[in-house]
Amino acid sequence: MTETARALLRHAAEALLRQGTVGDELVRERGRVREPVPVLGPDGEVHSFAVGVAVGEKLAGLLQFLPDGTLMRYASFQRGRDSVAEAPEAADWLDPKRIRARAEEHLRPHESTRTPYLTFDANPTRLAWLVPVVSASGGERPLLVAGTSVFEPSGGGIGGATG
Amino acid sequence: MPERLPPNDVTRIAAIELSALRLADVLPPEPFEGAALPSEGTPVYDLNGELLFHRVPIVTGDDPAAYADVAVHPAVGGPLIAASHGVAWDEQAIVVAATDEAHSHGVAFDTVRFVAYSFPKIALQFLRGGEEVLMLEWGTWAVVPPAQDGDRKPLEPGNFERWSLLDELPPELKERRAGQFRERLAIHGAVELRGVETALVSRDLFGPAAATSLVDTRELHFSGNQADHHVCYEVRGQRTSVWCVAASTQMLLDFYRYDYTQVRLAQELGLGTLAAPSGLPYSRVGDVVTVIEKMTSNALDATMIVSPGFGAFQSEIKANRPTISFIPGHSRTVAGYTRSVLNPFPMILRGLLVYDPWPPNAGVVTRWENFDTQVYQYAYSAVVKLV
Repeated sequence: MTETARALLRHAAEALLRQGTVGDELVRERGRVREPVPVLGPDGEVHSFAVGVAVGEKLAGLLQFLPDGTLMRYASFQRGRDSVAEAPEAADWLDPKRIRARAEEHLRPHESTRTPYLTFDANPTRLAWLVPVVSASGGERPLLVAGTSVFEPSGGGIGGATG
Repeated sequence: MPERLPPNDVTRIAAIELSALRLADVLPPEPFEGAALPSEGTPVYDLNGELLFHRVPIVTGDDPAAYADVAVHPAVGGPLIAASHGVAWDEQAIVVAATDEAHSHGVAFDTVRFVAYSFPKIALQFLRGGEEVLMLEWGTWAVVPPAQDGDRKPLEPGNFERWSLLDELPPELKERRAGQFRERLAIHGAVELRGVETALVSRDLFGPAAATSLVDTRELHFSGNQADHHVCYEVRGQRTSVWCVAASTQMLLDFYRYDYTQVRLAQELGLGTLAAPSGLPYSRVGDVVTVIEKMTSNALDATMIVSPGFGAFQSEIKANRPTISFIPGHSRTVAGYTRSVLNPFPMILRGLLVYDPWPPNAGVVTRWENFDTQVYQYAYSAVVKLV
């Protein structure tokens, strides 16, 4: 991702925030736009970009942009107006070190992890970090981390990867 | 009113659409403000041979800094498909590079054209005597394999599979999109815009009177009275990574004060247990209707809507009713809508207020989901039976 692309996304996120298109008064006044994170699809290509909006250490919401800059959605973690008390910590969603460490709590004996990346489970609105887990024999399995939840990719059906 | 966008109108329409997005601050000033559209760009065909859209280069100064895809075929649904920046579009250079690559495959050809081999992904198709001899994906120059035989559902292609947008769109969706397309072209033919002859992008194109205005927005309330009650809806996080349908059903039933646990609803929907959960197979999408009616002793009359349009959600919210919404691989509920209109002519941006059970054990409220960027497969409404 080029610095120009990052700057454009940050600008777009700032504009949407300051205009009041997304977020309530608290988020508009105190929200800080974080660095855009590429969301990779199953084919490894960039599907979209997630841009976090943090109030202090809390994650008020996530803007998701398509690669052409179109706003796809703004997902708010707020549970009450002008409050982020129940929102997750920003690091749970934006700090790859913490995300990797959370996945490592679920390792089996002799397993290790590789660098995580942001992706989605079944649908682009179901954002999650994928942490590749490697066994001693070299085999690999994915673990998904969405906030404080750690799980393996879903199976078939609605809520699953395929029909 | 033309059925398709005439090629000689492509740059004018693109300039108006892009300028409107500048006015709404959807597009950033760089590289769009003051950019020129020097040509109608590159025609891009559907795999069935019909002209689908033009890829129009956007030039700032002397630099081709971005491009816009402008639909010609009405089944696309609207004239402006996308505006992309960060990558320039230089048709001539692309054809030269692709031709070099094609020669390395040892094929002879007499025609090269751009195709949307997996809309909106682009490839170059090499033809000889009208027959394809090679197809290369733009940029990677990977050979696009021939069409696969198989019995898959329309619009559910596999990875790196070629497929025709026009052949796979359901007829009713095609017709609806064509209607939207014609409405949009009618706007461009309206009095205020008829005289606009431009190939420049500018937020000032429409004059000082232009502005964005929110004309219609509504959320679920305690009752149908919008004036004196508060918003009345809660998000429920899905208890497992595959229980989005159970969580969505829980949200809908909670609205009507049916206090069931998600575990119980999952059991009723046949989604297993917390220890061994499963998703809802596509073959059982009708079960949602059955379960809603069963769990309310038929006090709620549930209905499944296939391929719901914006109007379906809008009418439910206006009636103060939440809706369960299935999108590919996921389920959520819809609790509001908004329509932003760009004055003085109606350039409409549509959004849904989505209460999403993802991520597990948390959920988010999505305000707003751009309706035109999502695929809506099924929706479920539930109406209280009155005596």
